[in-house]
Amino acid sequence: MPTGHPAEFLRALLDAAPFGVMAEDTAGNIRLWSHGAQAILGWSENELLGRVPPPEIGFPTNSDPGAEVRLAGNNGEATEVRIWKMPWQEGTLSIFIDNSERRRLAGREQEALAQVRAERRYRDLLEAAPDAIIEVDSQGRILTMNARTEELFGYNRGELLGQNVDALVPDHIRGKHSGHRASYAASPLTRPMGSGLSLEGRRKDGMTFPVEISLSPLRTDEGFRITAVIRDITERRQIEERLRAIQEQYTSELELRNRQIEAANRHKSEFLASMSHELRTPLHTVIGFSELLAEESKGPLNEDQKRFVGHIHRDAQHLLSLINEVLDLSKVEAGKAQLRREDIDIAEVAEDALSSIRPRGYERLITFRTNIAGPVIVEGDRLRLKQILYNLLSNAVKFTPDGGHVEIDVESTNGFARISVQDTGVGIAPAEQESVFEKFHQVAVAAGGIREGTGLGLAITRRLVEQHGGSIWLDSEPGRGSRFTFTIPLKGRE
Amino acid sequence: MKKVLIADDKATSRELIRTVLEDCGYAISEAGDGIEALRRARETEPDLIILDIHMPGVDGYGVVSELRREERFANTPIMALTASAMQGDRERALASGFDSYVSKPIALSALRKEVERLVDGHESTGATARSE
Repeated sequence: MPTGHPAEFLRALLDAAPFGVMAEDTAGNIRLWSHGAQAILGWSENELLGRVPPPEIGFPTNSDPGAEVRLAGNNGEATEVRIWKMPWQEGTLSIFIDNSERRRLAGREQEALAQVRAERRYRDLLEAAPDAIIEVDSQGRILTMNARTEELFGYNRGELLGQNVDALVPDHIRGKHSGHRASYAASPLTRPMGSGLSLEGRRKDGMTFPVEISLSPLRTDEGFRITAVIRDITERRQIEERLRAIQEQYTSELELRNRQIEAANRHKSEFLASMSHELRTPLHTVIGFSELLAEESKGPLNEDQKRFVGHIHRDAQHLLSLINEVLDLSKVEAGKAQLRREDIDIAEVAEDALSSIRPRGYERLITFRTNIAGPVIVEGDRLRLKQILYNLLSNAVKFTPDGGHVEIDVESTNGFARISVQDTGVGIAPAEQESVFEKFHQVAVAAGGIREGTGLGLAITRRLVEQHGGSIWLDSEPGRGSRFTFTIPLKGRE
Repeated sequence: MKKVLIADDKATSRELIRTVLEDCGYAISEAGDGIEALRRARETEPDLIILDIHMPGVDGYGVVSELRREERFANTPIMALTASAMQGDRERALASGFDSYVSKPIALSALRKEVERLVDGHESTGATARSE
């Protein structure tokens, strides 16, 4: 205890304290206002001594110990304090401390904590990334890296941080790498590295692997930085390789198949050509000699002999038409390339075919009716179109009884030329209507037992119509005749 | 009497044509292959030569191009008589120096007409006859 008056010592002690002290007597007048109180609120002891506390300061009449209250200073500004009030034998004692400093400190602590949290979140994000992420400075020194970087390159963090990023670059391009880095610093844009090139990374064990790298520039207080995101594309490469291999295999198999088909087609054509030649050679003499015999220039034949020679001649002719049509069908099936397309008035072709067939009809008193609204212009092969019409007219005449009639209609409708050939023949049963267009199909005809021709005419006809981009169909009822109708696109429609 | 040379490796085919043409009053000589055809042509200097195209050794095309090189055969009518029926055969034959292209088999009446046209016409028009 110091010597001297205890009250003076206590007063000195109070004035030295970092808090304010105010003592009021039982009448409520201020008896003490410490230096600390003046420091906090600005009011001096001279101004307040012997007075009740000015109401504008806002001292609470009652408060919990340590309550936070706002008191007004003599300049009118509010100051937050914590206040303790307690009785003493002569009145009330108030002790208050400035709370704003503490509050400021607490706020700073909060901020620091939030920053730590944000950094941790950013770090977690970095570490969880599926790609290697590296930050380097302008010299190429590695400043930041994530876990995936360790995993991908086989180094631990301690071995890489602060080292030059060239360690991760394959030997053969290491020389160029610093040059690239300098040029990137000169025009820094977020972009993929070496676009169009196949990039490689180098592991600690020296192995290289394919990568894809995106670069982004970063300017910081500490200088220029580059962030590189490195993706291992080994797996993708493997899948691409496998796909390419499969594709190549398919392509080569397809090419082989095509060559085989081409060769088979060529062989088929060659076979048909030589078969046709070999068959026609003996037919030539069979037909020729039977004709010679029938002419009786070497002596007369009796009636039986004449008939027999006639059989030989007719059947040889039949065989010849079969050979010709088989050859023709194979040509037609070989494809469109053989059509000699030109602008054709199909009405004119119909008249032309009709005039070829008329003599056969006259013999059997068959009348022809035409209903042709020409000209109807299509793009097609004149000979083939005539063949189509001739085949249909020839069939119609063949199956029409003596004295019947055949009608041909030509019109243009909905972008197509539409031609129909109607006969008054025996007709075709519904069950057979689909198959008349098949090869070697011949309608079983009871009445008259008509059976001639090759059975290929309608098969050829249908293919020719289809080659011209049209279609053909049949309407028929047994006993009421048949109507074959086909269409060919009008010129300019395709 | 007009002379006709028939070259064909099939004897029956030669006999058919010979019979038909002898009846029409032509003098016939025959050859069984291209070499013989060239020899016979030079021996007899015929008014018409009928050549099969497919013959062993020198074929019809070979015979035509050999003969057309000689002055005396420059205007002799030469007919191709063939069982071949491929597209382009006719064009090829006419381009190779044949005057006429006839497919086997041919109707006898058509054959007679075509021979008459070639022998009497004295013209290389390239017109052709064809059997149906």
